[in-house]
Amino acid sequence: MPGSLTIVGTGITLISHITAEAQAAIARADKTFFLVTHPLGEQWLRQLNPNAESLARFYTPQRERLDVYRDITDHVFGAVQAGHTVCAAFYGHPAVFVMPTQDLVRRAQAAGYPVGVLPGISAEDCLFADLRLDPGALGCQSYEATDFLARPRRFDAATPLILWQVGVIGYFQVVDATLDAAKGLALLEVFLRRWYPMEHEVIIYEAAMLPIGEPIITKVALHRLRNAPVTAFSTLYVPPIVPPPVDAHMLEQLGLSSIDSL
Amino acid sequence: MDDTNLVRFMQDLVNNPEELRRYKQDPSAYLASANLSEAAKGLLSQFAAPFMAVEEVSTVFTLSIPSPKQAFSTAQAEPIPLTKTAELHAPNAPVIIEKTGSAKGDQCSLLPLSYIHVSPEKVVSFSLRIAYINPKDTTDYSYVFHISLGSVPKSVEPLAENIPVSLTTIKPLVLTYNKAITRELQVGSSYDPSSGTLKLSFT
Repeated sequence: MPGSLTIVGTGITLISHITAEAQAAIARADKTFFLVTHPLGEQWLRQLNPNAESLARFYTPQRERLDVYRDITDHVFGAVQAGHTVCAAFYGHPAVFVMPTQDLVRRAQAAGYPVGVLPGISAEDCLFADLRLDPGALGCQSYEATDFLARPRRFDAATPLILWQVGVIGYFQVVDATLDAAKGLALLEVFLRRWYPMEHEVIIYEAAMLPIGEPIITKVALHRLRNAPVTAFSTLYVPPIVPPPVDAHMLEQLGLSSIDSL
Repeated sequence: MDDTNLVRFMQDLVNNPEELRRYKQDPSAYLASANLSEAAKGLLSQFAAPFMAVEEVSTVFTLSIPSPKQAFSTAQAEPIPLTKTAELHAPNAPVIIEKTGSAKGDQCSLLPLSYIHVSPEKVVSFSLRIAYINPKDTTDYSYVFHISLGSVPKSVEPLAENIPVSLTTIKPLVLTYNKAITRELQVGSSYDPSSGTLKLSFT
């Protein structure tokens, strides 16, 4: 048996976000593995493929996330090596914040197996829609929150800023109900206050996981960020303080009188 | 537990946006006529947001908060009647506040950035963030709800953090997830600055 690997995204909102090609890949695989955020997702994926197997069992509280990812990669790749037509389905976009995807692609390609990665609707796509944010207008900066603090960049406060995983800053373990987000949020708040006014309104965002749900959009002044309600799925959107400046000389070279029409 | 049925229910809603809109307008009314088992409806109430309308109950809801000095600017011996509407909000997850088990009430704690204020004209405003542990919940998970009245002036200092608050309610109250609701305060609602007792009677 030749073995192959297709990695797909189910989208963020269960059922309604999946693409036709992802759904087909899940259904036709002889081994489908999945990782979704909602208990109903398990039933849904087993309707698409009765042999689908959840990877959630690798997530036990306090385990190092890297260990979890390694076990997931080993388990899925084992099925590819056994010659199965394998589909691995991850919620959201399979190449965005899904570490096993990169490892699986690397290992499968190195071993000569056919590999495909099919995009899904990511949390960022949902954020753009729900917050009416067009990255084409003023640009967009996007960082994982812990990484953003640990490796400070020259970011631009005149450009929209998106920080992912603000509810689990500093956590590298699987989190449970004891998660205390306040310490990480306080550090982030202090850091951001170097560039933004205290009263600058930021948004805590969480996409809807079910079709019958609504996104969670909480506006909070920056100086109150540390006490803002967050979960492991929360994202922070920091609007720009001012529009980016226009370079009149460059406009002239481009033959433009303004960039308002862009 | 009929999860398969629930998945089909949601698939049908996804395939019919008009039905989905009807569901979101009034989930409880929609569910009442839906072909789902009671168990499935119960599950939906845990999963969905918004999931159920606020339970229409008449209740007296009393919070006893250690009285802050800054809550009133002049000596105030008598409870101050409260009118207008209070706003309740469960920002993170649905909150079911059970009927109080003992006369002393259930213990909650006040979260940071809670405020209460009495103006010189004896107009009370408050914005309270409360962590509530459902005594019937074996997980000891604390639920957070917000309750507010009017607009607290920005100059008011926050109340002390994590101070114990006693909560009593004569009927259970269900708060919808991430959907603020307003309730008109009935006669009998009051704030007693000397004892810190906030009595809210609403339907």
